[in-house]
Amino acid sequence: MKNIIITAFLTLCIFSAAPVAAHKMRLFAYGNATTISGEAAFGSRPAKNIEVVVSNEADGTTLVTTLTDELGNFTFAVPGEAVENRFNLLIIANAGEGHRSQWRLAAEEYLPASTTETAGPAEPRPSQPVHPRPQANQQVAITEEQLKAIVDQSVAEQLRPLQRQLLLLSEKKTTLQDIIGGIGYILGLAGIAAYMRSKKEDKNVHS
Amino acid sequence: MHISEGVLSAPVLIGGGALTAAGTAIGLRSLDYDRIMPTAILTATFFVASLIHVPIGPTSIHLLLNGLLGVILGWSCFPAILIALLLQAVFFQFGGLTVLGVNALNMAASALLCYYLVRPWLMKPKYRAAAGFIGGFLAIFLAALFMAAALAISDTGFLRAAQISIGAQLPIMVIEGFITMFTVSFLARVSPEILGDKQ
Repeated sequence: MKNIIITAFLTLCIFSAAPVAAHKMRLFAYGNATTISGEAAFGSRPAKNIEVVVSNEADGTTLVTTLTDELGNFTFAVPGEAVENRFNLLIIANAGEGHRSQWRLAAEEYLPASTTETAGPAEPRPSQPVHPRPQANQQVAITEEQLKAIVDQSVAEQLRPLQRQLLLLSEKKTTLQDIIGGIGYILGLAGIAAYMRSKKEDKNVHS
Repeated sequence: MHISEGVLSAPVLIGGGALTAAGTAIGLRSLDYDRIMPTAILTATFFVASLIHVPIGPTSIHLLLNGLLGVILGWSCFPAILIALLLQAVFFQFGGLTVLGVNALNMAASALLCYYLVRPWLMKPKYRAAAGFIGGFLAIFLAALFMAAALAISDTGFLRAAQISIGAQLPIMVIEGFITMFTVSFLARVSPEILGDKQ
């Protein structure tokens, strides 16, 4: 009788639990050399008003501290030193209560490729287009860098849902196999414990 | 209630691990033949209970049932909770392997305290329901308090950590109070030997 009820309770737990998403915090970020945006969520619920700390991965110094908004989004301006020294950023969201998640944003993910950067400072460039084209028809001249920045930004925006989807996909969901496997382990351990005890009791009886 | 990896400092992790190991050793010694199956069943219950989420508070909270394990199992709740947490970490990515010792200590020590506080009354039919409720309620409260302490030693101020964690767990305290109350009353009627007095 009692075993049936306990089994029924456990079965109920298993089936009510199966569709629930883990409460682990999910975090991701993207951006360009000026601003970095990102979002944090618990399963499908946005993680509101959570402290986000951005640090330099190499030495762990804190560069920026910000908070997520009502939708779990956050944005911060990239500090100059991070751009100059091409820091790999470590973005850590800490919801207190021991919930913590981190996202690594490598330098090449938010900064333009190093070849253009090292080719020389951006100062002499703007003077070049002036020579061949003296801006006859009031057209706004866009330098190569500006165009690249615009494209980079819009591509990053477009990739955002894709990134989120990828992250959701890569997140390991709890499956029925996990639950049943875990219970199987517990029963197996109970079996081992029972066996050890019975051996010990045998010894006590015989000696 | 599970602390994630990378939040706690090394001394806290090591201290928690050592205390959990000691508790588990005592728990295993006290686990006699007749108690193995109830312990295993409750371990399994604890293992799956964490999957039942209640969408309240800043994060979603889930059942813990450490109070139930504590009042029924006594010291044996240490190995039970340790194994259940290990499996949760491996299968569900709750908590983590390095924080296993601290998480187990938080939940098992609070459960054990409830055992000593509530047990005398649990055996008296008149007070059984109230004792069950208090056991379930208090175990979460204490676990939240211990967790806040572990977080506080590592970095954030204790008061703030305690406020956050206890505040967030308040609904679960009430829910588990009722669950423990009903389970204990039910077990007392159906199979009193599970509650059985060992001493």
